Amino acid sequence: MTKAKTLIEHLEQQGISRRGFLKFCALTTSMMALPPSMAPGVARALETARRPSLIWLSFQECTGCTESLTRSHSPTLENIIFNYLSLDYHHTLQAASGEAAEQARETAMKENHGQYLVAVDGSIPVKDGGVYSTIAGISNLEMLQQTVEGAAAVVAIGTCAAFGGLPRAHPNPTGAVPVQELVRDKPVVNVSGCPPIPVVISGVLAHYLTFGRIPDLDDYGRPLSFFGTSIHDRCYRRPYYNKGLFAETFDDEGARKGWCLYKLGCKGPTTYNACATVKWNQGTSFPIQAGHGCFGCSEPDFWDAGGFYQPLSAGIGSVGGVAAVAVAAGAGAGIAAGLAQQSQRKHAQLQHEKVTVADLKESES
Amino acid sequence: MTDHEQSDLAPRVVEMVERFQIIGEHSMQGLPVYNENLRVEAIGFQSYGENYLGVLVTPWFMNVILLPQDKEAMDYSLVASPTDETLPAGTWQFMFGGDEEVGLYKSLSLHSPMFAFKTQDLARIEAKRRLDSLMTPPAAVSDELSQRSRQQAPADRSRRAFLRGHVSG
Repeated sequence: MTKAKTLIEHLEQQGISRRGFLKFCALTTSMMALPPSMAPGVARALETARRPSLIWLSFQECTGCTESLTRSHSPTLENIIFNYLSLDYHHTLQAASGEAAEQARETAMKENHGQYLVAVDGSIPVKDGGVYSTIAGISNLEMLQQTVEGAAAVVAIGTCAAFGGLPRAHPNPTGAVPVQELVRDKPVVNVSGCPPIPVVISGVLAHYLTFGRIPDLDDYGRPLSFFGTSIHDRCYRRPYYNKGLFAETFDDEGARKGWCLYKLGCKGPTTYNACATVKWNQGTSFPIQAGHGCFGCSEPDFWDAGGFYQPLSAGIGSVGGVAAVAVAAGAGAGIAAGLAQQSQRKHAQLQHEKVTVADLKESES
Repeated sequence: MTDHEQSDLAPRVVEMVERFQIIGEHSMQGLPVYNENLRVEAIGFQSYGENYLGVLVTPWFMNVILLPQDKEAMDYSLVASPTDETLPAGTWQFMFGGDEEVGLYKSLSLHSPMFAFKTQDLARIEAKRRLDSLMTPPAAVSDELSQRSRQQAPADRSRRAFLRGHVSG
């Protein structure tokens, strides 16, 4: 077992130089939306960190989240992340199968009790005793409870694991629920999206590796560094919205000129994710840049939240409200902006409630 | 504007406010994203380099605006492209926008839509708070890791030193 080795020892064994290691640290730092001046600190933290064991559980899911992760940027940053972690169980990516696979999970749980990370993609069916999805004869519900018991933290990857997603959409025949409804006594990070942006998945894992704790979260348990601003706030089409210029159909003059897609059903104003800044396919593009409105796939209940092509109706915009909006702009800016609101957020997390404008007013006086 | 606070605004800022009032009446009023409780108002505009810097509140957005003191000719090829702007609190990615009437300006979104704000007063408080935080240099970062970084800040911050592993001073 390599679990006793530090990360740098593990990397050296693989022929990765110190220079490569420091480059990785710099990348990790920017990936976590931290200022570049923190790279040396990240390097020091990672030098002494041990490779934590990661157990990845796949429940009612489509493997899209794993597909997303495996299509992450070159130079295979995420592969390095996996070298940094010990991925001990993952249906799609592990070599073992059958009983050997289940044994790998049990061994990892035993050897790293209290230390390992659990990633979950897919929702968990709880109706009729959880019979609607089983692995190796064990219901998803039972496997989750078993596995989470000795975990240090749980990362719910994708909208199904974070909020229930498609399986939970009306009429929810299997009684699907998200991880956070079943796991109450461990820290849970929600990395929502259908699928989530690969760098966001690896960013959360890198954060845990570096700091030994989960990142700061928003009201929905999502990492603020990636879910702190709405798509609409960072959208390159935003100047057209400001000026009241909208595409009315998908092939009119406004659409050709790149005007705002709000009237065509874009959910950018109510969707919190990093698509407009991090983008997809190695930073190439994102749905709005391709000419289509945002579906809002990283928000709770997005399947049941009205038609994909229906414009948002009045009042919906208040969902995230003040609490979910950060000024965050560039990578370096995130921290300073976050600090201003941190105390309020901390309070909100503790109370499991949103910070309202009224609260702000109170704190002003 | 009837508000006395607006009376001592620079003519350029007044021009911009009037332009957005027209946009509001013609293009935004009646849309679900339009908050009827709010109106267009320029908050805290001040000279900042060659620009006026302040927060523009409208019924459909709240943006930080960098408006050139001298009207800049409209360049449509720049609209919707990002530009990094350094303010006392840090560097922020603004977006180019503008039209013939006001010329080119840069904006940074704070809120949109505006349903979190039931009254103009609440929007004004938030605008002032955000402007203050943007104009205040960052205080000591409280994070433990960065404190360590600072205490052990390497004397030689060159790229070469970093790559050679002289990272802990």
